[in-house]
Amino acid sequence: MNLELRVEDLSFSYHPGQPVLRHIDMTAPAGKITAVIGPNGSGKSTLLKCLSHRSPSEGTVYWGKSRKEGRRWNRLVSFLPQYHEARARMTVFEFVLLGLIDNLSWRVSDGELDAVMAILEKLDIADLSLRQVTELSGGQMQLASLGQAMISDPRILLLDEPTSSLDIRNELHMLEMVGRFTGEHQTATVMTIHSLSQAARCADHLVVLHKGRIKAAGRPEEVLSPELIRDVYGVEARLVRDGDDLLIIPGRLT
Amino acid sequence: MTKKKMIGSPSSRAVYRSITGRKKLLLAVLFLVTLLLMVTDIMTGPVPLSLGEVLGALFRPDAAGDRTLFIVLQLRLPVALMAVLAGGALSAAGAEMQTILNNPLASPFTMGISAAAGFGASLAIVFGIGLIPLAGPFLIPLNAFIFSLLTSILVLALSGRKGLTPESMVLAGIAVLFLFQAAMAVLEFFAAEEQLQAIVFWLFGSLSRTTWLRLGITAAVCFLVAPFLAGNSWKLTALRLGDTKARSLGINVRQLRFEILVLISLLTGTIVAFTGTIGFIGLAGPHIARMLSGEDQRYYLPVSVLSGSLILSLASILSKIIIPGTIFPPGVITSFIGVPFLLILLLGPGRRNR
Repeated sequence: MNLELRVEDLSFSYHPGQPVLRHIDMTAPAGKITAVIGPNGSGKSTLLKCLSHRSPSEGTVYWGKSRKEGRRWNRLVSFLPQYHEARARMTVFEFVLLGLIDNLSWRVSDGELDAVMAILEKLDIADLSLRQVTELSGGQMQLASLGQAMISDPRILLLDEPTSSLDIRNELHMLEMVGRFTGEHQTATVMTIHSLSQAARCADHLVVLHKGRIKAAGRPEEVLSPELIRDVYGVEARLVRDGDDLLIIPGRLT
Repeated sequence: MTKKKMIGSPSSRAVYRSITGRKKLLLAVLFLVTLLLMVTDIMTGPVPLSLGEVLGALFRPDAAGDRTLFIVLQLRLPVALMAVLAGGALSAAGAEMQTILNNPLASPFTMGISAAAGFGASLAIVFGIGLIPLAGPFLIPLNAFIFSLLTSILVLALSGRKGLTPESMVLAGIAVLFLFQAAMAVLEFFAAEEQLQAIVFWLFGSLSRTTWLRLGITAAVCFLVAPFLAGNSWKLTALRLGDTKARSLGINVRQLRFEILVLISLLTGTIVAFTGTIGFIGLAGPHIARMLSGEDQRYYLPVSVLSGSLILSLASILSKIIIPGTIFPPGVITSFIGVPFLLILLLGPGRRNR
């Protein structure tokens, strides 16, 4: 049962000669949350896309023994993109149902309908079923998107900045849902996140990206240090331990 | 916890039924109204016919008089059917154009496809130049069809160089639109008086050139294209979630865009070839459908089709009533009907889209 998402020597460039990711090696075990941190433009989103649907320029991605290729991979993975183009006119129920697209035929089965409802209830948004997605708040939209990603019961859950536009309560709710799902379904969850304190708190592993390379990786308390934050972000910061939590308190720019 | 039990799994069906039930009802109503308008269309004309006469000619032709039979079967039924077919097809083309380009302004009209067809037709009218020899009576429609197909390919090729993003496709379409409008101006400059009149008449759009043969060809194309559009329903719905999400769901977005564009060109090319440029339906129909039924393509597409059929049927009726004895161009009327209808839906009460 020791499955893991494994990345071997992955490089990617949108334009020849301008690599966005260089020689990435990393693993993300099942049942754990792996947080990818790093400054804007360090390649976090691109890395997630390479794990999801983009073909890397070099290198390979594995789930256990199976290589990332073709339709089979899409069934293993769910991806929650950073930017929503949720201008579509559809209800939350229909929106979440679309996550099952691989199985959907013209007639939607009762089992599929039940699955949608179960996810909506699990996320505590069943009362929004009939609401248009265009009318949702940022937090509700993010939960609905998470539901859409979760409903296909993926082995690998990829979340691109799932909490970036959320208030403190929604942020906690969202991360709690992700954590619970990861544990219950034994998914390998990889997410990008900007808040270092939140990353330290919710993730089992951290991967630090800097200019397309992995700068450090490991358990949060091993990885995070004032030196690393200064090197990667150019910020003087203090790390304060508060019970189980590791707080990062920024000082000034270097 | 008790509250959650109340919303147990049986109600998932209830929720879904409340979503789809409304749409099915909507489809039924639109279908009936379109049918009603089609019959009214057959009743209307220089020689008014009663409902009984029309139904008699349609369902008990043995008992009907020769004159009635001729008017209904030879003159008005093909036109009425063409209104339904052309309106539906143009609207469907617009709906899918808006879907694949993720742009509410996209339609066969704004993408330059109609303009290209118009130019092709005018070329045939002014110079008698055909791209296919021995086209005979089909010279004008064939030219229109070929030009609209070539334009789609051109738009694809232009935008393909930049990676086929929706934005580049819309820009390429607009560029093509201006190109053909300029070319039209040149043609009109050189055209003789009667030729100019023929061009203008063609550009207005008209259903009166419909024959059973032309209707048959149009119907064949429509029924050929329909299953391909319907078969991609879920993919097209998912495309509205954005390219990144659609890709992650395993959809080959580029290929889907390309295939759908080819189908749309086929539809538009055929319709424009036989009816001239009937504008606005491809823009208004899909918008009306989106607002009424949402974007689940299993409903969005048929509702778009019926909305378009309804508008053009209504336009066909009005075109015969406005100035009795003459046929006002229905292409002009579609805009006059479509604009207020669209505005009411956009600005009406209870709408907060953005």
